[in-house]
Amino acid sequence: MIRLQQTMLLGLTLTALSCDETTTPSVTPPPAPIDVAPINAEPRALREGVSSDGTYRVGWEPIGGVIPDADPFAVRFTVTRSDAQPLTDDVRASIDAEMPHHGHGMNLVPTVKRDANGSFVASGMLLHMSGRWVVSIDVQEHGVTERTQWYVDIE
Amino acid sequence: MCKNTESPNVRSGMSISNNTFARVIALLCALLCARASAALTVCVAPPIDRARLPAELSTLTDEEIARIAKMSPRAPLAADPTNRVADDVRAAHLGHALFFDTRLSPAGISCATCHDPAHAFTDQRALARGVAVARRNAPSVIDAARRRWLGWDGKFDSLWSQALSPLENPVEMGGDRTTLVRIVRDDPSLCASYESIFGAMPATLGRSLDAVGSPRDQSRDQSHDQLHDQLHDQLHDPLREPARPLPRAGSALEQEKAHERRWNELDTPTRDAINLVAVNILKCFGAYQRLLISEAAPIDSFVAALKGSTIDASATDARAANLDALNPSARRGLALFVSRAGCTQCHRGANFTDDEFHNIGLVGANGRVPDDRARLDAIEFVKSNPFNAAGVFSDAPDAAMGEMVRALRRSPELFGQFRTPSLRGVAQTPPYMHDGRFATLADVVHFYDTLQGSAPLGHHGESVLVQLQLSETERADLIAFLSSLSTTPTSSPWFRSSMAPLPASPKHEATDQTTDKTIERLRIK
Repeated sequence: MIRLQQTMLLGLTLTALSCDETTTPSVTPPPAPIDVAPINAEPRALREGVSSDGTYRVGWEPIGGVIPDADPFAVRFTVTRSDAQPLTDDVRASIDAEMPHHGHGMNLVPTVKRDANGSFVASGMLLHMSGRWVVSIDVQEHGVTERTQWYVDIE
Repeated sequence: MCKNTESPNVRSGMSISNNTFARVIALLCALLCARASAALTVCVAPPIDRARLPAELSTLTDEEIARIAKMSPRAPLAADPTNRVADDVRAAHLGHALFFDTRLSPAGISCATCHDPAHAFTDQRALARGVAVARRNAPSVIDAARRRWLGWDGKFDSLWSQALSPLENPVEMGGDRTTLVRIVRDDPSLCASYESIFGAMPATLGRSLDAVGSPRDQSRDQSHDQLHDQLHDQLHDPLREPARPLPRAGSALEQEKAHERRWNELDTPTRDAINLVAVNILKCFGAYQRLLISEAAPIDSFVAALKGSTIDASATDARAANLDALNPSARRGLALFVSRAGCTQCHRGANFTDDEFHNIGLVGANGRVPDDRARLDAIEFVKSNPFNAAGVFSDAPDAAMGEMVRALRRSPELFGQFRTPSLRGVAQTPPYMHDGRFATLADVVHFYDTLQGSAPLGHHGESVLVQLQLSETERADLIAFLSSLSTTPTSSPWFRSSMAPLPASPKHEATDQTTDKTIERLRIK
C-alpha cells in the first residue's frame, strides 16, 4: 500500500507541476487519477485517465463531440486493463457526475450498455448547470471498484 | 479533488486512510483545480468580435462574452413525438376553442381564467384562483412548449399531460375528464372537429344512447322518449355523471369520493375509451399551446448586432440587428447578468433557463425554512403518471422524453427545488416566484442581492447563491436588462380568445388507427 501511495504521489506531483494544462498527464506508471477536461465549448475527441489503483485505462467522449447546453447527451467510454489482459465477463461499469461546489449531482441516472465492440455507451447524461462538474466512471470487477474522475467545466 | 466521492466499496486513491498522505493529495489536487481554472480562460474562443462590443461590455472576459452569444437566437421549437397531433393545425384549433371554454368547469372557469391573454397568459395574482385559491402562482403558458418539464415542480413532461391537472384539480377548475369528453361529444361543432382529426369516437361512448334508440328518432312519442332518455342517461350513460379515477383531498372530499366511486363502477372498456378520447383532446390543448411562442425581443436584436449577423427572416428570433436595442443601463445590466451576479448559472442560453430545478432557499409559510417539497414529490408523480411520455398514452414512449422520465433520479436534495423559469417575457408576468411572493422585478433583484427571506439550506441543499451587494444603479441596470427580454404583444391570432373558424375538413372514414392500437395496448397491459 505504501508503495502505491508513493507512486500516486509522484504521479500527482508531476501532473500538478506540469506547465501545459491542456495536455493529458503522461506519467507512467500509473498516471494521475484526475484529468482536466476542457469546457464544453471546446470539442475534444477523448478524455482519458487511469483508475484509482491503476488497473484500468478509461477514456470517454460525448457522442457528437460536444456536451450540449442543459440537454441530455450520451457518452461512449472504453475500459482497458493496464496490464493488457482482456476484461473478464464479470466487468461492470457505471458513470455519474456531480457538482461538488453545489452539493448535487445529475438529475438523471445514466443507463450504461456494452456494445458489440466492448465499449460502453451511457445515455441519460445531463450536466444541466454551468460550473464545475466531476465526472466519475466506476469499473467493477471481481467485487472491487476502481474510479476514474475528470473535471468538466460547463459554460 | 473538490469533494470526496468515495463509498465504502470503492477502492480509490482518495480513500487511503493515511491522514498525512491524504492532506498531501488534497493539496496537490487543489493545485490541479487551480490549473484547471486557469485553463478555462484560454480555452474559450468568443463567438463575438471584441471590436463590436460597446463600452459597457468591454471589460467582460471571453467566457462571459460567450454567455451573451448563447442568448440568441433560439433554436427552432423541438418536435413533440409523444403527441402525434402536436403540429396539426386542426388540433390547435380545437385546443384553442377548449382553452377558452368555461363549460369544462362546473364553476365556469376556463384555462384562460388563470392564463389570460390580456396578461401574457397569467392572472397577475400571487396565487392562482380557480374554484379556490391554489398554493402556487399561475405561470404564463407563452413559450411553455419550450419547457422540458411543466409546472413549477416539473410534475409533467408534456403540454398534453399537464393539461389534465388543472382540469381535474378541485382547487383549480374542478372538472373531470368524463365531462370533457361529453362536452366534446355532445357539441356538434367540437365533435366534428374532433372526428376530423381522430376519426369517430369509440363506439363504447355512444352505446348507452344507442341502446334506447336514438333521441333523434321522430317516430316515437317525444315526451316518453325524453323521460326515458333522461332516466337512462342518468343510470347508464357513462358520460352523464362526471367521473374521474383519482381520489383528491380537500374540502370537497365526499364529492371526490363519489367521483371516484362512479369512475370505478364503469367497466374497463368504457374507462379506456374515456381516457383515450380525453387524451386525444388533451393533445389538442398541447397543439394549441405550441403556437403560443413569444416573438423576438430587444436582446435578440442586440446579440445579432454583436455577432454581425445577417438576419435570417425565417429564424425563430428574426429581428433587425440593432446595437441600440439595449440602452446603456440595460447593457450594464447584461454585463452584471453574465458576470458578478452569476445569473447564468441557471438562467442560461437563449431560453434563459437550464430547464432543471433548484432550491434558492425561499422560506415557506412557517417563516423559517422551505416547506414545499416541490420536485421531490413531483419525481414520484411524473414517473408513475400513466399519462407521462413513457406511458401507454404517449405516441412515442421510447423517445427521448420517455427515456428521461425513466431515468429521473430521486434524491433528498430535490426537496424544495423548483423549475428555473425562463426569463423571456419576464417583465410582463408579475408577480414572481412559485408563490408569487415578489410583486415586482425590483423585489426579485432585491432578494438575489440581499438574500433576505431565504433560509440556509440543509446539508442536502444546493449552495448557489451569495449576497451580491449591488448598488442602487446596478439593481436598476439589472431590471433594465431583464426588461429587454420582453417584447411587444404578438399579433398572432392564437393569442386572442376568438379566431376565425377552421375551414370544414372531411371526417375520417374510420376510427383513428392509433386510438385502436392504444386501446389494444391498454387491454394487454
